[in-house]
Amino acid sequence: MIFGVDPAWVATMILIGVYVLILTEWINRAVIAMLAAGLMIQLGILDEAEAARGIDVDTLALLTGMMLTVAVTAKSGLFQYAAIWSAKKARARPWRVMLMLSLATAVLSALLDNVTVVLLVGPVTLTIAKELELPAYPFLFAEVFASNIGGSATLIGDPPNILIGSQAGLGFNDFVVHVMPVAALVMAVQLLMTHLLWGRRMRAGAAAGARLMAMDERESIQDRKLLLQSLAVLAAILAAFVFADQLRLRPGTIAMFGAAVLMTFDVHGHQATLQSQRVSQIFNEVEWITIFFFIGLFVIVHGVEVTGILGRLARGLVDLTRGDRERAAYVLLWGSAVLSAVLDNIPFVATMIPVVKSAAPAYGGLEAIQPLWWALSLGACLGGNATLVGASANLTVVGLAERAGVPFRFWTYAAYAVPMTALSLAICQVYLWLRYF
Amino acid sequence: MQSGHFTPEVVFGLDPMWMSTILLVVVYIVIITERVNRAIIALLGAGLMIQFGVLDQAEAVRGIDFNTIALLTGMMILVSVSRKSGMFQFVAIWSAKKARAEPWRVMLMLSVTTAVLSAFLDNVTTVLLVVPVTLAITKELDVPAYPFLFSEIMASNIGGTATLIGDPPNILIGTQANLSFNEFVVQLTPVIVLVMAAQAAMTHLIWGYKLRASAEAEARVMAMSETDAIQDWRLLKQSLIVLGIAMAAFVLARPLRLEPGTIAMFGAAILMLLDTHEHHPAMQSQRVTQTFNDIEWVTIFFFIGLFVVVHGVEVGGLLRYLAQELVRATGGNKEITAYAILWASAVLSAIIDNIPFVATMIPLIKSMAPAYGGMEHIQPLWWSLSLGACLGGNGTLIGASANLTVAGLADRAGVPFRFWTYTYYAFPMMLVSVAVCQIYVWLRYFYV
Repeated sequence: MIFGVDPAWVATMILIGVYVLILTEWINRAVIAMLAAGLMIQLGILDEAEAARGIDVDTLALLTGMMLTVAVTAKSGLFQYAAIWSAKKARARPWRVMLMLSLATAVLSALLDNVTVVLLVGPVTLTIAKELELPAYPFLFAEVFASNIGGSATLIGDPPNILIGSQAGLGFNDFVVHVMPVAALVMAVQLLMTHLLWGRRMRAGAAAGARLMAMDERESIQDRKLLLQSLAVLAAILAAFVFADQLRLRPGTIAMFGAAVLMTFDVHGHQATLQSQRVSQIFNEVEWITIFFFIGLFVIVHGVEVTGILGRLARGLVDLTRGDRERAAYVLLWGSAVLSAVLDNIPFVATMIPVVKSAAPAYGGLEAIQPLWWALSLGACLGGNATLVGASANLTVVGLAERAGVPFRFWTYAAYAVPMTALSLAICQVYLWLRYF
Repeated sequence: MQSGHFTPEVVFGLDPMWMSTILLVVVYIVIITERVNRAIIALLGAGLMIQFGVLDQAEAVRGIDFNTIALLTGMMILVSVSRKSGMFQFVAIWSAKKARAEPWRVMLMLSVTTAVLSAFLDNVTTVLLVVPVTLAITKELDVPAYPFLFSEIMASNIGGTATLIGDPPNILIGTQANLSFNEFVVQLTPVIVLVMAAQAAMTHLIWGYKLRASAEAEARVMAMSETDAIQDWRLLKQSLIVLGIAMAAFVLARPLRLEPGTIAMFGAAILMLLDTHEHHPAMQSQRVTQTFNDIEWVTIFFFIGLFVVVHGVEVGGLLRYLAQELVRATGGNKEITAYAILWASAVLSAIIDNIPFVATMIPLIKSMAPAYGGMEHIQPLWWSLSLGACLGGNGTLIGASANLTVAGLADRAGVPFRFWTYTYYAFPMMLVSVAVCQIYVWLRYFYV
């Protein structure tokens, strides 16, 4: 009890307060998340050890490591090179460029962590948009969607899928067979919508287009040796991600180690003081606001989780369906989508898994509830698209964009994203109905 | 500090103890030679510990002392924001004028302040507050900052030894051996005052007596008005209030049941809020980013990497092995055991972090209690452990967190701290201070 109030409600109020402040943007999100995390501890909802357990160090290490790697790589001119090369391949036509970037994001997200992918694609996008003198916003918007949709397609694409796969005993191939078809469909519809909204109206100025076609991508390379080193390290990191299980390494370790290797290449040979300067500069390229926001948010969500609110919600959802498997699938799909849009989907999915498992007998055993897992996965992954705080990749894009002077506002994003997400979920609902019921 | 039930599975079937020791030695050699920036080499070493299978990622994360990291980060943010108000400049000018612009007086004043603050606050916190003032004073007086910073490192570790709450090893020893705040004051504070006096004498002989500010610099400082240094009165008041509350909370940390890391981070968040809240969102992002960029990230990541490397050595079993050998070599004689603990922990703490070492020694010393007639009779062993582990940290630049923090801040301000030049003066000084402790332990506990 805190001042005679149920801690569950106090934690929920803090969470709501944080979301309200993030939406109104009165206070920087890193500051508000840190303040609220501190309150969670001071009010006794969490102690420090428990709060630290809530912080997903693996995600933070992955983010920091990839940001460092990207920061060093950017110095070589690789992103400009890739941007000019691909824009020329697309003959400087904005819609083609957008399509190409979205598809690349979706495919990469299916194989890699979404945050990693947007950290790689984001800088390229910003460069192309600048060269073509086009607003970067529609490109980045399309990439946020592509990364979450692509991520839902495979077992390793998104953390909720990793959780569901490992705890429900579903393999890589199960996801490919059951989820990938609908993910491909959703992606196609999404591209169509993006085309109607922005794509068909976008034109690069004739001068910008001509100038771009006349550019030589090789001239954008600043440091050939560093470029080769960056490519080698990036390739090694990606390979290690794919074989992470066999290597028994976590993505966070891989990314941080890769970053350390690349930084060594970048600074060695200089004298100690100059090294410190260069390393400090690289560290300053990390989106610290994003990192500290995540740290705070992890603690806050963990506080809400510890008080049992998420569990209560989950049980309520199951009660709603009164043991009907089809209804349960739809409730899971839409319920997890709505919650994932406002909460981090990882703790939510982690809470739902045991609830779904324990409800299995009511629905006819573990075999029979497979559609429920797919519903949970699709809802949790796609729901993240609806708001800026719905998924880590969204926040990462926001951080990159803000730094480049492209503001993402909560409501303008949601105005387009919520209907689009609803449509993608409707497609999933039809898919579930046709295929399983 | 005890590691869980993690069993290392080292590649190529090598012995985890030697594997981790070799890695530690290689990392240290690179740090000492400064061929690669220390943040990078520590992270590489940490990654290799995991890849060689000495640790897995979860176990490595358990080795990271998040309280220290949060404390460092939070205090760096507090200092970065309050610096904008002109506060440190104000204190610097004020105190330089009080010391009549005589460098040796300033140095003595700063060292004693550091020692006293360190006795009650975390050493890292103390140096983070004192170093900016020091850099400002030495700039105004136009004297080299190095001797000042050097003597502050020494003072912070010496002062920290004096009380139960001054230094993490003391907190560990106090809680696990059931020794009270007052026992530390009665048993340790006298010898610490002595050590501090000896240290001040040595600093005076090496640097102090030679330091002179030029006549113009002296005149200029005496003519300065400290109030002119204030850039932003409102921010100054806000900074002072937040810093004051944070300090009070540090001292009362135990009854409040808050760790220093939480206090510092929360204080930092409040001060950032006060600093940014009336600007529009894009401007807020800029200011917050600027503040985050003022954090000494090289130091933070160096600590993260080093914590993992040292944890690998701990899990690998080297500390346990050394501690057991130490106990076996001295078996049976309490006096010799006390001296052996004093010197061995001093030398080891100069090389590795003293916290895991102390954590490993505590159960071993406890297990010796029956042989010496119970817990009351082994008190001298605890004091030897505390003195050795805390003062030993002075011996090298990587011996204690405060040293590295000062070195990081100094580096950024253009005052390079090199491993060997530091060790060249510091190690002998550390030996002198431990010798003083040895005499004290002998006179007080064994001289009949």
